[in-house]
Amino acid sequence: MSVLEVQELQTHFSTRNGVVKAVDGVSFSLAEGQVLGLVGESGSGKSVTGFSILRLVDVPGRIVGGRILFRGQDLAAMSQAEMRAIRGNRIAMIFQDPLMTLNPVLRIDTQMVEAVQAHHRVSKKAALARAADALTRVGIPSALERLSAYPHQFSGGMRQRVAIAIALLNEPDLIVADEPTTALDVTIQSQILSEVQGLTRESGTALIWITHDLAVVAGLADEIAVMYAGRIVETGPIDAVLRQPRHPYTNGLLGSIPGNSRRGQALQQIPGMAPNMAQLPAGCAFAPRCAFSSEQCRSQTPDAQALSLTRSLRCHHPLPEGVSP
Amino acid sequence: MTPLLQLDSVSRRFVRKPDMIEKVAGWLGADVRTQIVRAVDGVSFSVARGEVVGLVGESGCGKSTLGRMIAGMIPPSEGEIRYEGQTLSDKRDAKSRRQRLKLQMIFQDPMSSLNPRMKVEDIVGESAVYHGLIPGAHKREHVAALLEKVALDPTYASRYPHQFSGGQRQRICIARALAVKPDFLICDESVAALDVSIQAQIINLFHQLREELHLTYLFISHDLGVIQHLADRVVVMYLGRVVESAPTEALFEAPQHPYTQALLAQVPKLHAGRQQFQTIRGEIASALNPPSGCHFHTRCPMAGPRCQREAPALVESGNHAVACHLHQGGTQ
Repeated sequence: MSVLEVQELQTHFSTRNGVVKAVDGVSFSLAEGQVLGLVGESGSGKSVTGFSILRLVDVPGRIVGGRILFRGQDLAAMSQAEMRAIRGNRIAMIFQDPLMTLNPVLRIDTQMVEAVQAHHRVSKKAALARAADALTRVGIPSALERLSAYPHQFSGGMRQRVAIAIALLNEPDLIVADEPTTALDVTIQSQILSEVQGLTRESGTALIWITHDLAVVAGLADEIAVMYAGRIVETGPIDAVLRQPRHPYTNGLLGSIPGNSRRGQALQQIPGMAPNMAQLPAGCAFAPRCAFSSEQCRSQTPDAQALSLTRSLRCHHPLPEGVSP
Repeated sequence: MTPLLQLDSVSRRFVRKPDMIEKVAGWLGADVRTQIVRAVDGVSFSVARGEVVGLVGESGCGKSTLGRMIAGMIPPSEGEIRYEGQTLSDKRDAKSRRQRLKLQMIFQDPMSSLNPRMKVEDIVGESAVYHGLIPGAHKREHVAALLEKVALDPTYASRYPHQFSGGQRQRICIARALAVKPDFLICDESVAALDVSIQAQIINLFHQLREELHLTYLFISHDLGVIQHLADRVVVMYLGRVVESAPTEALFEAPQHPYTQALLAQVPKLHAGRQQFQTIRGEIASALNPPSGCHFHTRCPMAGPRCQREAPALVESGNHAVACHLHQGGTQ
């Protein structure tokens, strides 16, 4: 059974320069214990999608259409009070910068106990025990002592672990993680990824991992959704998509990643830059940068078409099968 | 042949003196010491003309400090940096200035390294005119030629930095560095802040410029993929010291230092399928209070008693240099 089903989600921002359709018709679903990698470049709408699920979009942003079904209930139609009971309880979020999640003037234990008691009627002692347990699970040594420390006494990697521990406190069904390892060093990122991997496997928590780094998602996720200019342009099982991308943008992204394969040669590059979201071109938003674009691409927006049971694509001219990046 | 750039046991210490309150506390008998950070600790390596050397390490390992010393922005506390056989100095005479012009730096964040109140033509053209490389009357053509070289439209010369995207701003920074006809570019995380597709464009630009202008690069990055793609030789730093240095292929195929091995094992890979992420324990230690002996012994799976006692020397065999007791008679 699916934990989350997002249907035709639209989140728009009305600005002086016009309406920015940051998320424009995004649909996906997530089963229990599944990890979805939501990938895109800056401005593609991946973070706004994550914020929309938790209804954390601030004015001038607004969810203007679509449904966010969480265990059958539509989050988009809920009242603030109902939403508050779910946020941090059934659905948790991990942000990029743990210093923004943690209150600098409160000790870790205060913040963690508050998060538990906001949703459960338990004694402070029981809440503390649960907090210590969560810290241990994310690999913080001597958790009981560390509980009485302030956020500034932790290093960057440890702070992100604390943020993850807080997300885990109420054993949520779904965690939305927005670039949680982007600011961290490789060795620390690897530690966090290994812990997250173990946690999702143990608890069956579904996870949405929002990132710009395809390589991180490659090792972590089951499914991948690639976003461009507010739309999911390609989605499917991670291995299939990375091995054989069918959308020219996915293919270009994969070719842009430096590494061993093209050492010393020029990288395959996507010309131009991401479009201005307030003035999107008609038709396919990727058309001006696409080598395969035609008249049809510039006039008609491609609809999502299913390639198989699990893969779908928005493109008039998908790459033929058998082309590897 | 003498290498283009040579570093001879270069160190840099940063000293934080006690402030007023701490001094008073000191008079009252509290234990107050000046804190010394050894950001760079006895680093020696050289860069040959036309070579691209990648400098890798985690945050706090001293790689940026080293880059800044080579660019002449801060003097080393000890040791010597020689460029074309001449010691780099911070003197203001004509010869030292000309020498420093040959080394230019490109920073990570183009927005904070471009003056928001200056037009592109002034940002790019100012230094060449100031140093007398071109007459002031030729500034416009000089800037136009440079902008074309970095694939920007020369008509953008009268715009301000905020009117550009991140990738374009980085191109402006590159044009500014090239304006004084340098031989050596120090790129400090120059592509780290860019999106993948833009990053690829800038990396390709670096490639193309290297061939056109016969540039030598020191490429500082934490991104091993970028380094593997660009560099001919890689220098790995840990807590201020060089732990391994080798040609790129040798290093990525057969890393010898446990730290390099761990770093390489932990890079997420695109086509490895679903990975079990490995971890090395702990985090990079504080440079204020580094571990004794080999700085890495607190995290090293192979550490022995000798690693705590004495710091391993960087020993070269062939062109592969490693600083580890494992390769120098054992860790006992």
